[in-house]
Amino acid sequence: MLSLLELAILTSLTAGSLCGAVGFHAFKMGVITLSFAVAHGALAGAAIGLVLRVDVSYSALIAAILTATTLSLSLSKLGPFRELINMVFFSTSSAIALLSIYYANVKVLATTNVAALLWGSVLTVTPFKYFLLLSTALSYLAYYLAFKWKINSIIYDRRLAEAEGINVTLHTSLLLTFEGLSIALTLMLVGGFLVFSLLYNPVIASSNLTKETKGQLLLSTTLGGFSSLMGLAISYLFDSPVGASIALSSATLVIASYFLKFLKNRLNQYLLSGNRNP
Amino acid sequence: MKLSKVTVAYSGSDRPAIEDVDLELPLGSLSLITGPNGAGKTTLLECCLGLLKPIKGEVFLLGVNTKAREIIEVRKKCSYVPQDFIKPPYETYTVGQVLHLGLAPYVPPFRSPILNLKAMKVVEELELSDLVDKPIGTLSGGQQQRVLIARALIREPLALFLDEPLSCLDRYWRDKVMELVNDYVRDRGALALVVSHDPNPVENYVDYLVEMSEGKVKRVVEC
Repeated sequence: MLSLLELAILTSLTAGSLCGAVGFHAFKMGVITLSFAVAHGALAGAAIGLVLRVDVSYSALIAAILTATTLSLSLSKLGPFRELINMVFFSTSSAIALLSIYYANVKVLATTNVAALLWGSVLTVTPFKYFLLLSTALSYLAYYLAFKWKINSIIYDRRLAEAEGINVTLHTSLLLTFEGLSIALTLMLVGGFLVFSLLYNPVIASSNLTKETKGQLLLSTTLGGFSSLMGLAISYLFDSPVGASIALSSATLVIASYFLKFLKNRLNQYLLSGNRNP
Repeated sequence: MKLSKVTVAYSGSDRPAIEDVDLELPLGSLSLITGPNGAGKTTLLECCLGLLKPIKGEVFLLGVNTKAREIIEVRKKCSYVPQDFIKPPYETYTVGQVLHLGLAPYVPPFRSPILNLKAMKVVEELELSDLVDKPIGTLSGGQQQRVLIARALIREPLALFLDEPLSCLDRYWRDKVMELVNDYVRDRGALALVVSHDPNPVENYVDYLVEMSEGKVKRVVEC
């Protein structure tokens, strides 16, 4: 049987890598605001779980899938109002989350359940939840490997892919559903407000470090896993909240990537000027 | 390709982009849709592909109503070269990848697309062989347009929809591309719809000339 620390290490590595990969595709497919709505739907579901006194991970999972499905089904019908409707989803979900916390009969926000929901806790990780997370990660890997040409076609040009007979709505819906699952299962580690650090910080860091699309995906996945592990280690060493530690470590990687990009540009400029004046 | 009393309107606009359009174009024909800016040429083309749904009337692409679910399968038999095809310098997909992506709809899960000999011939004729490893964003507008035309042809479509396909090309390439498209239509018995505000040199090859103005088809001339 795995110890709590071993389980926490495996969960951080898997959740970070999964979020890095899913966030990369959400960014490239232009559905970041949709994922924002799905994440807050998951948060609202988790908060409703507090009121109903069920495990928040499972209520978050159901809410994330429901939000992703609703948004996917209405995607083509929303037209130019898509972004605005997402914001309606976002604000409504946040309101439901806050109201649910208010009515959850917990007196202070430091209560373990609420704390775990808002900023994550390794104490909420169980072997079964890790199994769900690992299954989601492996399913996403299989989905990507099976349809990578179609996914890349959508990334290259959404309209052209649709005109050429790729079911863009189906793949966007699948991506949103995977994102909803990833967010719901990562909530236990980083909480509802910090989950975006795992989704999008690795994407910007990888974009700074390589220009090649395939390289960016691999790097985003790797950096997601690495920043999550780094955050967990910081949390363990300094007894700090795990969600905030992960968010700060991934932000540190973003800053480091900008620094490396700056150094690389300067080096290129130096080499170019050296070539001009031998 | 059949349009019957088709009206398309964009949300927020007080007048339809195209109105009461009736048009029927047979397989094996090359047609030019021409007209001034804002005439509704691109809207008509996107409507034919089912990318825009009419608020009135019906559109049939290769015998299938564009409002039906089957339209996704039918689009696999079509190729499209959009008007706004230019990618920025930071676009990292290589020319080779962009060409392969055109074959993505036909690829079974876990498999990769392969360019056959016919496809390689198209790539050679459009003088893209030396560019296959270059990121598409680093190419000129004309080179990028040739890549998109090659992508459209290597899909071996039954219907070709080309929106201003010569806009970035010089005289030599305008003639060469139209010759390639014309040969393709005649050899395969395919349908080609070319949108161009400038009829030259497309009109030398066309079977039908469709003149549009203010969202309406003013005249269809059989050439």
